[in-house]
Amino acid sequence: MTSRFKIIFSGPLGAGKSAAIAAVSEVSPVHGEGAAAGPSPANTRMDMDFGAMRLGDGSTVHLYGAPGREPLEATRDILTEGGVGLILLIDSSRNDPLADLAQFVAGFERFIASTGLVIGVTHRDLSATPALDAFADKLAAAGYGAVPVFEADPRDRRDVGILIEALLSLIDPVARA
Amino acid sequence: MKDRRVVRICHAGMEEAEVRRFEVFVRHVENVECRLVDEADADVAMIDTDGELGTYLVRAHRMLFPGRPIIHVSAQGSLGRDALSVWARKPVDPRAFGDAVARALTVASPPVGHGGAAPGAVRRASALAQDRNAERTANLYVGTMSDIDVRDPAQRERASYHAGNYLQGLFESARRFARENGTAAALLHRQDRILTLNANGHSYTTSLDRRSLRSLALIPLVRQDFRIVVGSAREDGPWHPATPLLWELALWAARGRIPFGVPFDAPVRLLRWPNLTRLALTPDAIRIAGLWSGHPTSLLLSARALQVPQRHVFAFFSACRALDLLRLEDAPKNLPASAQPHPSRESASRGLFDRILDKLPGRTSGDAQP
Ligand SMILES: Nc1nc2c(ncn2[C@@H]2O[C@H](COP(=O)(O)OP(=O)(O)OP(=O)(O)O)[C@@H](O)[C@H]2O)c(=O)[nH]1
Ligand SMILES: [Mg+2]
Repeated sequence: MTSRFKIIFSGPLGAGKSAAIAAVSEVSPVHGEGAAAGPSPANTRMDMDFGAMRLGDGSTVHLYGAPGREPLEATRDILTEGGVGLILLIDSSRNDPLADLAQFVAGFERFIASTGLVIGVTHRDLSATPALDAFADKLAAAGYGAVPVFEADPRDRRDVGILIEALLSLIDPVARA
Repeated sequence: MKDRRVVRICHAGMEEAEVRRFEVFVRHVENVECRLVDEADADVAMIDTDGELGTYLVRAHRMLFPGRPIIHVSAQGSLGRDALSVWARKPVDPRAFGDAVARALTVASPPVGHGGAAPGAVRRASALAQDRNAERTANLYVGTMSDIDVRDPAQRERASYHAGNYLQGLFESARRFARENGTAAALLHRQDRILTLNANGHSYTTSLDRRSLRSLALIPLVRQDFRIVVGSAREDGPWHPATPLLWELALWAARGRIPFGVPFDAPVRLLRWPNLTRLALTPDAIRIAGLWSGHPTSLLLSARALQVPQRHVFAFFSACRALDLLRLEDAPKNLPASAQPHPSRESASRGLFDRILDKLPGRTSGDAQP
């Protein structure tokens, strides 16, 4: 028996959501207005990203992202419906990446509480700070426990694969990706 | 038509300039066609054993490639010779080297050297795991130890190691030295500087190539040959972050074992995830981390729940422990194994954990497994 998982990518403007989905998707990543064919969210006129990949056991992972310029409240419910977890990409070269983290975690609070959360810290080639521990500390202080926090270049297939695999391992460590 | 036999050769302990000379040199070897290849693909290893670290290079290579003949190239004689070693006396000319290769092939078993024509494995186009499959199976971090029966003290001992006997422990001591003294710390082997850590212990520089460093890290060290002294922070770089090195030093020392004294039955909790995109990724590391961050689980039960070799779990544990990312919870006292551990999250996780337990052989749940 195989399964289908839906994973959400979110994060601030330009954090690398579209790049991440494009890096791992085995179908041409769909984006652009009205791109609502197949399993992508119907009736949306937003510039959503959609991608899909197949796991070793035959399961399919669907990857969804929404543009950072849209208000989170406008996209969140469409995005998260049926989702098994959230990959939050935080651009470490922006002004206050820790505030970005806090804002997005708060925005997805209810979704995260019942699913899984992984943080990908992007643009490390442009900024080596804040330290990963600062992100982890902030999450721990907010009561989220040991959240996976990784440096990731969203353009790199291997990095994005590790983010996805970590998320799946939180949901079900016993399954093999 | 006469076939020239193709022999794939790797080297250790040679400087880059030497390697280039050696490449030219092997073209003139008679009777066999030598090809310089990566160490994973070689039929025969060639190791210059005259350097200060020669003995570590040989022993590490033997540990990683137990069945591979080694040509010891030395002016002084062969170091730590075993049945798979031959000696080529320096200076070596192409004829003598050809002879050494021929001897190496005769001591090898099963026969090697019939070209590298093994058909490349057809890789199924799938999934995120694909890129890393090769990395995982080819990786040298988890050793080859088979699962142990922890009721047997001898087997428990076999699955344990003392970090202090390895480069890992020296590195940790050097870091402590640097932090306590507020100075850079240099690790010396006899008179040679092996590596220097900066004053906060966050970065290091080394004179060794990666393979030599690995050889040193794999083998218990002769402690009296090593010293830690005040180093110079102005050492010519390049300087690298210390954490990925310590992670690897722990993996190399542990080779699929755990530090002495760690209980096999205490639930392991992951406090922080290692930065797995930038650290050496060991087999099943992500799944083990996922288990330990949500459901503290003992080393033994983790291997059974995930259906992976114990050495995968032990290796990942040792590396995480070196980075101080774990906590051991109290081992259950007088409880049957089936009573531990408790899932820390509710509802959604419970179904998962039940499934883990269901997968374990010898469980009391209805449909027992063979
Ligand atoms: N240097 C660098 N560039 C990156 C990195 N990650 C993404 N980029 C680039 O940053 C730009 C924005 O990336 P996108 O993938 O479009 O970001 P996004 O999150 O989809 O952005 P919005 O949809 O506008 O919110 C692209 O040019 C990427 O190639 C990184 O880690 N380093
Ligand atoms: Mg985008």
